[in-house]
Amino acid sequence: MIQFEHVSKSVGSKTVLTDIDLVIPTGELVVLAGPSGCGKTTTLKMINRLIAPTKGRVLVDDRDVASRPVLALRQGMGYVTQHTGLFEHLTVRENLALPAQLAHWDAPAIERRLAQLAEQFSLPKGGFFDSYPYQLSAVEKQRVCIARAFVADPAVLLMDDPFAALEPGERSRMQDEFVTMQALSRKTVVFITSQIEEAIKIADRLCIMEKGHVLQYDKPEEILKNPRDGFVREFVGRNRIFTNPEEICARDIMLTRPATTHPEVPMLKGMEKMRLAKVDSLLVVDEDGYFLGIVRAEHVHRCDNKEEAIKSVMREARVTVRPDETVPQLLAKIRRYRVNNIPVVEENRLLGLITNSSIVTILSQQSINLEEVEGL
Amino acid sequence: MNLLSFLTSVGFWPALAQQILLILLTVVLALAVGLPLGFASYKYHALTPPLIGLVNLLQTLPAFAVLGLFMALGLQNFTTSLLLAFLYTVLPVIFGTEKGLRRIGRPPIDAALGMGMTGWQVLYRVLLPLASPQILPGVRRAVITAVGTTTLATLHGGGLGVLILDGIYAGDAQRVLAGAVPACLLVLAANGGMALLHRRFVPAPLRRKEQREVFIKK
Repeated sequence: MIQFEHVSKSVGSKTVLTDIDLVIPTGELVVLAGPSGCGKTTTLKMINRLIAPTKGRVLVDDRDVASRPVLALRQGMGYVTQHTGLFEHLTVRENLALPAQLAHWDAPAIERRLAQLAEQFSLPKGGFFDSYPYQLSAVEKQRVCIARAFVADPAVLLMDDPFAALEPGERSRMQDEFVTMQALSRKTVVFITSQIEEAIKIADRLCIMEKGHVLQYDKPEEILKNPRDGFVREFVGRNRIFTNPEEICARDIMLTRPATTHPEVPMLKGMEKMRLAKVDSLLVVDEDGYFLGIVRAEHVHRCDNKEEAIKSVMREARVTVRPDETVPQLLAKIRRYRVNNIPVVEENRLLGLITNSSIVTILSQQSINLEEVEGL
Repeated sequence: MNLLSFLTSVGFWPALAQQILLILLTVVLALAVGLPLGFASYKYHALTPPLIGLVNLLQTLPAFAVLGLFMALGLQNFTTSLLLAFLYTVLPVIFGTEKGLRRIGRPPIDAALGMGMTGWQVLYRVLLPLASPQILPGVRRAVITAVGTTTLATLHGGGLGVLILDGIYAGDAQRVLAGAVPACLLVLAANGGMALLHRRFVPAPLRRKEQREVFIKK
């Protein structure tokens, strides 16, 4: 168990952390999330004493880290720094062996351990262990880096935004693997990220920080259901889980990039756009983003001269909604006007589009009893 | 007259020996002072601006003029020769060290400390190898400067410089050459030797994009 007791940190006149109180239970994956500069890295580095608190204390297994021998403390924790932090002058093998060497393992034991890790982290076979970091891809570097943190089999892992350098696809795959690995090994993990999606995906507990304060610390589901007002709500954004359809506004569930067109565009091109976007209508918007109307495929078909501009067949929208209208209001409008979708408009500008199916999809992902929602 | 007996007759051998001794002492002194100073100016960033100022100031002074100053002060012995050569050799070492260490950045150092290395282990297993691509060119430059400056500095302290100066006074071209040619060969040898050291001490992956520094100096 890792505990922060009234920990504050200031550097010169600048306050980095203010009165942090945090309990990280053994075997849980705790994610510290927040924008850059919110103090999450400082918090992490206090656990392995790379940074000392100005006030308060940090306890690991009920003992103040400041009173423990620093080298032994650090050797008992795996650490992944920002931007990987592999040693460029050493081979993969040498990089991986270092933590075990520092703990005075003998060579055969290290070799056995590396083989085991190669398996566990699906590192390529062959000459991979003799290559240098510059010869590796971003994903391979990341794998080696995380493997290095596991080498001496520490009980605690500290990971400072380890997936930041990866592309979205690779990142998502690494997250999945890491979640599996964590489920199997049950280490105490403190993980830093600035992406709320990543945090939600991997966290057992989520700690949202901003400007050196812990704003909310709870299970991810709790935070998504009941985010505190202000920054947390904003940070959670569209990932929020709603318990009541009344809480959900058009803004929360609208498609933000519906298929649009300009009124002067010839119908032929409009048809082409519908075909490519797989839709049967386009929203007509002028160059300043003002919403003008809707053009439907059937209207274009009925027109003989398809060279003409779209504005000649455009219709005014039967109904629009404001971004703050709630789901019951949306459903009522859909029923009353018998439409499949409704443009979201504010001060004559188009913000997005609500479709019948998007409402159903969104509602089914929330913790809402669908049978109790009227008008679905 | 054969070459060997000619060289012996003009006192070449002791001059060469003394020059090499002076070069070695200069380089050892430059390393002993330059490496810690380079580390200090990396560690305490505030030290860097005054050091850069000193570098610029001292490198602007022509070595020959500084030698003149020493002579005017009546200082003409082995120690002043050493001091003069040292002034011009220590700076590239400081600079190379500072630059090399500065380039490393935070992550490898945090990683090294975080896995439980002692300060010394961080220094010799991580910092020095990673900084070596910059430290060694600095040392190389120091060695080459040392050879050049000691030739100048030995004008009155014994060494190859004496042969050149005596030869000029006596209008003896052979004697000038006996000093000048070996002095040039020494520089080339030092340069080659340092290239070998570079290959020996800089880890292979860091030698990929070897910056070939061009020595345009005075």
